[in-house]
Amino acid sequence: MIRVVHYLNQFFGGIGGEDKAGAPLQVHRGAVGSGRALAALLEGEAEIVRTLVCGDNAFHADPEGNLDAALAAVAEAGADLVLAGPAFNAGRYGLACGAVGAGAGERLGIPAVTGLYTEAPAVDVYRSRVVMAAAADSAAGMRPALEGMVRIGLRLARGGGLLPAEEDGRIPMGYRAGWAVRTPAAVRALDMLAAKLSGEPYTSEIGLPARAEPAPPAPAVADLSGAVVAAVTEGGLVPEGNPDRIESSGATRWARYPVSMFEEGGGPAFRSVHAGYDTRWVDADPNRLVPIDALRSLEKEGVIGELHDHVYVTTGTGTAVTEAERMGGEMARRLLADGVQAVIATST
Amino acid sequence: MRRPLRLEVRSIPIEDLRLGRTTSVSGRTLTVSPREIADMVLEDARIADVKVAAACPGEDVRIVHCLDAVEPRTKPGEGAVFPGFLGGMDTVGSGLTFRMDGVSVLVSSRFPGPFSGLLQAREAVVDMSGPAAVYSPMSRVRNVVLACTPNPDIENDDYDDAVRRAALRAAHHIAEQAVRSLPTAPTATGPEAAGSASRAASNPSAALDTTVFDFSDSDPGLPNVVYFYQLQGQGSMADTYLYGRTIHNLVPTLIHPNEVIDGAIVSGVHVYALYKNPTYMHQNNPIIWELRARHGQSLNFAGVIINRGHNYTQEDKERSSQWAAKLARMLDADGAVLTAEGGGNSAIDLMLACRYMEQAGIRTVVLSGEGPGADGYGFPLFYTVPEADAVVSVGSEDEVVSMPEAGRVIGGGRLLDGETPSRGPFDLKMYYQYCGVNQLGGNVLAGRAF
Repeated sequence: MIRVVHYLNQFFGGIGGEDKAGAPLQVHRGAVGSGRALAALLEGEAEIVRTLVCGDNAFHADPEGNLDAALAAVAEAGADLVLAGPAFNAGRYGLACGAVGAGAGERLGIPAVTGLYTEAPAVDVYRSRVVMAAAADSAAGMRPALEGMVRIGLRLARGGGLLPAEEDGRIPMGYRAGWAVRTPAAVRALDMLAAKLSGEPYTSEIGLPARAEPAPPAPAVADLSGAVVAAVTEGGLVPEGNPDRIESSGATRWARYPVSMFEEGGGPAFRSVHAGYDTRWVDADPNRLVPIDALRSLEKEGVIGELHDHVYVTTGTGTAVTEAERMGGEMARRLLADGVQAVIATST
Repeated sequence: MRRPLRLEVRSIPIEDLRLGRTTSVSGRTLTVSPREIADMVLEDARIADVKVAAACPGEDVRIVHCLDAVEPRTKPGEGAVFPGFLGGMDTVGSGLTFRMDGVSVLVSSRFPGPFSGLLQAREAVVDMSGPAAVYSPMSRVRNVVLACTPNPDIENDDYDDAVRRAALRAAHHIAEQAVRSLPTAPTATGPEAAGSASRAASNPSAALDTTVFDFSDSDPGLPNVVYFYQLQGQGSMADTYLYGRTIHNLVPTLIHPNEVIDGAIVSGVHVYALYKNPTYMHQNNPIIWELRARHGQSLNFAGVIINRGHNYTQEDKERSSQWAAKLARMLDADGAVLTAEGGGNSAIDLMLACRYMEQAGIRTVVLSGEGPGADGYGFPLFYTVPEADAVVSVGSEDEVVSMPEAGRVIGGGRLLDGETPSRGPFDLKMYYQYCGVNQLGGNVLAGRAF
């Protein structure tokens, strides 16, 4: 029998309304309040071994202390599953359910499910940390919310995984993954096209970006002859042996190497590990990718003030956007800290 | 499409594959003679050795180093099935073609020489059973695997040509022998003879399931839909062949859907396995088959525009995508389905074509793989345009698949990294799952919000 700990606020725990919002955390054996309906749904599959009830204000008066106490009770009960709420569109209650659910998963490794309305305040705070069954915005939707929590919760407690959010009746956690589907892509595509052609509603399986984030160009360098210029490339040029293990594609790493290493006699031979272009010509002469020779000439001629003493390198192919943003930001901060005013970024 | 091509594709359903002394079909069992196939393959001195193996769905078998997969086809008494490679340079797409339904000839091999950068054959794995089988559509067909060993003295490109031809010849041979072994061997049927009741009565093969590809009638009351079919053409190890020639310098052009179904497009793409469209997928292009099913019912299939993807420069991309949109307008298209092969670079060509078609008033749906990052939280598309508001996802490239220990391995004891025992267990990136994220819709995966 799966052992369940259920979390409720003072109202659903049967203590009282807003006037009892200061009620401190209580630990009950068995099902309490709206937990009796939950117990009926769990019948034969799981039992509610403890119910934690805490007033909405009391929980947030000492969120750390209450969370510690709640998790201690969950651990003591030998729980296999924590169910919190459902809290519908409630603010304080939803946040408490989120905190207890996240804590159970992250600190105790016990699966947890709450039930929330999609616009509840706790959704944005906890969506990636707690499994949320989609619930209505009020307790009128109690039964379907409990059914969703039970369906998902029992599966997780038995070691199963999540289904896609829509099939699972869940609020999306924010990540995407592959899933085997029954309807072939060609059928889905032509159904979508038929809807689009006839003016009926359709839902793209991949939405447009939530917001366009154009990077505004930096202001022009007023006087290049006084500027420090750095060479940056996504061409995968690394010293022999690839000491920083920069990936051939889907990079998560970048590195910087002293310019002196690139210049004749300055160090180990360089080669490109990039998996997205024919690297033979770069291996034969890395200046074709990172024009150190030309930049040195410009430095001598006084066209640029100074060539920065490091070359910045990563691999740009199959890179996740989030990784590209992170690495670009890290490089830019480092370059700024080193007083670089301009960059020659050679792409492949 | 007036002045029609009429193609009948007759399917010989195969549910069991065995190795035996001669190549033939009995009931729903295909027997393949390894000796016949090996003798034929080894006529080409560029191939030093070949082992012919059978790999069927449900078997505890892993196939590694997969290159092309080809469905056995023949056109008895007619011309070539893979024009430009086998037989003459005949225009295909009409007459009668037999296909071995549920069978592929799958080539597995290493290459003789080292590679540089992009231009390399990468690992491509198929599990015929177990949890990883869902990651390849070829796990659902019976594979006649040609595990080839290169002659070490030849260049990679030369060897690539050798294994491609080996697969095509073997596929043709198997279908030819199978058709000969049918109760009454059929001969060619012209457009006028096809469908004749008396002929069907005297020819048992006519009882086979036959799919007619004929788009000559169109209904003015239905929307015209074109298919924008982007092929990978990056050069060595990442090329596609149209009537035996590279598409490298292709401008977008029209091709009759029947030509595609009938072997005009042959794959030479050996880079990232998840995205490759082997010849098998071109022959069985799911978009074309579905458009055929809906032609005259809910749409008019108005044509196929093929385009070379991975154009090198923005100007080249603008040129080809605008050109494709112009062709769609010339076909009086109301709607378009767009597919591509490969990722990254090619997504730009694809999305620009979407943009220019939408701007021309042609409603579009795009099929695409997605890359939301290892944790799945990133934006899933490498490149998109605001016009791409109808996208069908065919799966995520960023997953890692846990491959269990396999009972038997075909193709080599170690993966192409030279270290990992092919037998496993090991974790393998989706990138190396053969047709895992198939952008023609050939696999069953889709990216979903969790």
